[in-house]
Amino acid sequence: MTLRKNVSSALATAVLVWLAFGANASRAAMVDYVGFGWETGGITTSLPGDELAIAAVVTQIDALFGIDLNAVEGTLYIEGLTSLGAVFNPSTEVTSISYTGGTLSLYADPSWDHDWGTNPASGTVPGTFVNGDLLFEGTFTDFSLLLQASGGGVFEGYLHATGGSALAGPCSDCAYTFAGAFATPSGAQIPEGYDLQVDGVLEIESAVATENINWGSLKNLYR
Amino acid sequence: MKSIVILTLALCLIALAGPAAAAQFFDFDAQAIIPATVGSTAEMYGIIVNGSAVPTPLPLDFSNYQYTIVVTGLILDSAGVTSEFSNGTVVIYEDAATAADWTDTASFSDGVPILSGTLASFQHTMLTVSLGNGQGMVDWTGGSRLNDLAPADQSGWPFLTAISRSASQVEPGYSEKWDGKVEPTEEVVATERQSWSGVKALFR
Repeated sequence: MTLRKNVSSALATAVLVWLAFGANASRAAMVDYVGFGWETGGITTSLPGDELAIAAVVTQIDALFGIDLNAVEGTLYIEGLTSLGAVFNPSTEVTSISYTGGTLSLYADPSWDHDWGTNPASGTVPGTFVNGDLLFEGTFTDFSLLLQASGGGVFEGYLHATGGSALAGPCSDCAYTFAGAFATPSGAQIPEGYDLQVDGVLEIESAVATENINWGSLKNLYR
Repeated sequence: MKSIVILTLALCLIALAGPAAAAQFFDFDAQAIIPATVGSTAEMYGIIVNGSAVPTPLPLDFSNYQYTIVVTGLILDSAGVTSEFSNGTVVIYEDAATAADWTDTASFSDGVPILSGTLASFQHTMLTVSLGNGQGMVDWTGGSRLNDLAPADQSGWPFLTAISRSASQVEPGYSEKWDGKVEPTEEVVATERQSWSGVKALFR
């Protein structure tokens, strides 16, 4: 019994070391994006059931994706984030909004046609942000937005990766995004009909160079 | 009196010239060094990353130059969840010689200063343990491209940034990643060169 425990413990340790080493070997791939978001009914009065969407363009993308932003435009679209309602904290004067559901997709598009326009959803949004080759898509497991009265804020979300040509395979809790979120009082330029200007990062742990392996095969590596 | 009327009309004409773009800003990816004690200064070193994706307020040549943005001398006046800073200097450089390197802050401040100005006040707020944002205003006062901006367009540019203290985002030697932008309050539109007689002729 003791021996078996020790073997299990050693195996667990080896797996952790392997996972840590593996994570370093296939470093997180970064995507930098800027764009605008809007919520049905408005962001400051976010009510349960309202939906948040964000249309963005990519300004930097990790070489791991093999994308040349001089040859194609990168676009990113977040949709289907369903508000659980705004909660205002009077002591900090910060409004927090949690969301359920939602997806994020990332495209490489040779047509260079992104157009935020005004009053989304519109003739150009989401259409010009969801065309081209799908590089990555994922579903949110958690997403929250914090907004100050000054108009400054931030959001972050965690995702399961579900597909896209840059992904070796689906993976759980392997992507993360955060962004500054700026409403009108901050002075940010915001096209008519949008609620927020956003500027953030998408981080994908296993965009490339990962390998799916079953538990039995993994154990075999240490026999 | 007649000159004032003509000048006013000419300014109106210039303001209306050219198509308006959807959004313009200097979008930057930066690393910041934040002081621990009140009275010390913060610094930020960033690369402007608009490339072909988003128009900049002034036309920039990303094919042949790298553009960097540097904030120095930003004094920490009060520290807390919300920290207040003041009296910073902001400079945007154009450089074709040396690629910016996070391990060498001097590599961000070489080249030609195309815009320089002041970040008179800056508010830094952490909204979670690792995430926050910063807000300030920039007044441009110098640089080789200053006169490409009409005097009325040189002041009050929002400086807005997301802040992350996550280990995956912060480069060695820095305290925070700043992912933000400096932008005019409204779109900067193209102007057209016109002789004075040509402007007057428009109103005869």
